[in-house]
Amino acid sequence: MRRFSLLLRNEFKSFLTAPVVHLIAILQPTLMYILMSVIMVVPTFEMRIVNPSSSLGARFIAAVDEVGSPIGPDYIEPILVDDPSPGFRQVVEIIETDGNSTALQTYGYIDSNLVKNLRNRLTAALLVLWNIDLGDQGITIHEHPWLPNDIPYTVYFGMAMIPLAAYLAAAMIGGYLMAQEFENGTILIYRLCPTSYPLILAAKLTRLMIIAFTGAVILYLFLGLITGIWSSSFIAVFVILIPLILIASCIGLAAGLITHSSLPSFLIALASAFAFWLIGSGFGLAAGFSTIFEKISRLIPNTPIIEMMFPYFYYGRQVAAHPLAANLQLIGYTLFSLIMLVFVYQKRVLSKDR
Amino acid sequence: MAQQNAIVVKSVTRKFGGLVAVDDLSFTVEQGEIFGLLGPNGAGKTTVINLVLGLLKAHQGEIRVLGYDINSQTRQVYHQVGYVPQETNLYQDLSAIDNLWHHAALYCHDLNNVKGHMEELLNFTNLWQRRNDPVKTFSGGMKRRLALARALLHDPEVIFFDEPTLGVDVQGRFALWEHIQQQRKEGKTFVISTNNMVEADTLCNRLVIIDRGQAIALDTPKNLKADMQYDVVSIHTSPPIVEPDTLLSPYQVQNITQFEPDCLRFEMENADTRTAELINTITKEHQLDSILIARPSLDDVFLFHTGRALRE
Repeated sequence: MRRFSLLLRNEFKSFLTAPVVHLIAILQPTLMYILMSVIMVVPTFEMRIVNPSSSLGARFIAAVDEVGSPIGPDYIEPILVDDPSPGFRQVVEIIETDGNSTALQTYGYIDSNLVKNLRNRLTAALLVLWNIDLGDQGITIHEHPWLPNDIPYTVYFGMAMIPLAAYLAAAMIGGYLMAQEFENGTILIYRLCPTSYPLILAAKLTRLMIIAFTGAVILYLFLGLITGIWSSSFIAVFVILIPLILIASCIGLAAGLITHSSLPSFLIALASAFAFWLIGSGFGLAAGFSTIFEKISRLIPNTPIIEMMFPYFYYGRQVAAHPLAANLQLIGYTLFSLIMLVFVYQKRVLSKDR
Repeated sequence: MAQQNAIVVKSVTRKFGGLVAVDDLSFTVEQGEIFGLLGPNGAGKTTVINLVLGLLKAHQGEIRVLGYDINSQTRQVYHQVGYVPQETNLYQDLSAIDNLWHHAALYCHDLNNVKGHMEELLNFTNLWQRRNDPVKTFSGGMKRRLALARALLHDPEVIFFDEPTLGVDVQGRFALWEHIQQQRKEGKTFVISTNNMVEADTLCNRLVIIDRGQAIALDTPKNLKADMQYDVVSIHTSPPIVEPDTLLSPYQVQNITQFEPDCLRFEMENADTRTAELINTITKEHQLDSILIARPSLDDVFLFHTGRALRE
């Protein structure tokens, strides 16, 4: 145990050899999330309500709130206007003629789950309004909402970036530092040392896991601070990440061992991290895309990870198509990655037949 | 009781593709001696060290270190050997003490006493005052001394030192030689690889001259030089001697080399007793500006055995 803690200490000391790479790897996803969620991804879904001063307009806003779409800058922000211009993306016009109330919804050229969801919410809200008009003869409305309350897209976006943050930190730092051992000739120290290599690799993996968790926790905190939404279990979210971090660490270390060069290792880690993020449900659940894309997406470890994390952010809602299969898939990927790392380490460090 | 061999290299051959880097090489290193691998760049010295350390596998032959077979008992060997490679492989951004801690975690069997040993070694190599400074701020000599301290940290029996003073200034060189000698007195065995004649002559108890992967001579520096039957004569004349073979034909000379037009160097048997005769022959048609007769150096030994200059 003493030796392992010393090895771990050495691993952490290596921060001094590449502080900039560490900072990039740990903070880049968080910075990207802040930038994209606050500046580029507009979380507010603008709903322009014409004739807002009418009592019906006010009741409509209350009805939307009642059916579970939060009114406010996080999700739907009613902007009260008197003149519907054709350029608006969403227009709801409340018209009263001859004692009849009509709500006119107009959609621009956008289509997304968010719009579809909003449309359903609006329909429910209008039913509520209609029921008020019907009085005692009102229709009983049984709502079966998928979620009790709509959650801003930035939550999904941030949640899907947590695996990216963990992956990037582990793979990039693992690859870069391992390649540096070759570039600086310090790999010789490992080639000649009598300490068993599984212990050395265990220290490296442990260190990368801690670094990856650090990157993920920072993003998690910013996600919570920006959206106000926190997962129902902190520990569960990070336990789910363990297989992905191990996979990323193995890929990063193997890249360093194979290329012997910092830049290619850095780029391999970067490219694989973003490819996994984009293909692996980074912008929406795999099931929401085409069949082919979903099949490809399910091959990426990020997809089952996100599906497992989803309930902790979305009121316990399960979305994994086959939870057991997803678990087995992750276990399989992790074991394969570890075996690959051992094989590559033996070949590139311990082999005498070079 | 016969002294046990620290290293036994028996008929070892190693090829890289079609190139035979080490060719049927055999030698033994006794415990407690400083053994030199001498040869020009590319002679195969580093390959020999890599083979003995088990970093490369020999295609033929057998290597034993402290009685252990290097291929099947590698772990046992690695507990008892230290290595300072040619390119000092220290972590430049870490401090001297952090470099030693890094090494300790990987090499030291007993981690309880390692702290005291670090202090001892850093004092021994005069680096204690700089222990917390990043290695990148060290001079070349300091880095080599730190690398030596690191190689000694796990108290190995045998230390391999590749080009100990390469790129080290004169003061640093003497300090390193002193450290190596001190460690030898404490019973350590050193195998050093060098193409520095002075270093080989000063440090080594015995040495093997390697050229093109083959051992061409093996003995103490003193015996190697004594085995030379010729003295080395260097003369400056004006005008230059045009046909030295003809002029020097009455004498038993060999390896005539004309470094510059007016400068000749050759090997001659009993030159010290035939100096006057030689001068007479030369001064008949030439003005003799200088003459130097010397006992052979290791350079001359190498030249004698290979027929070409050492530093090509």
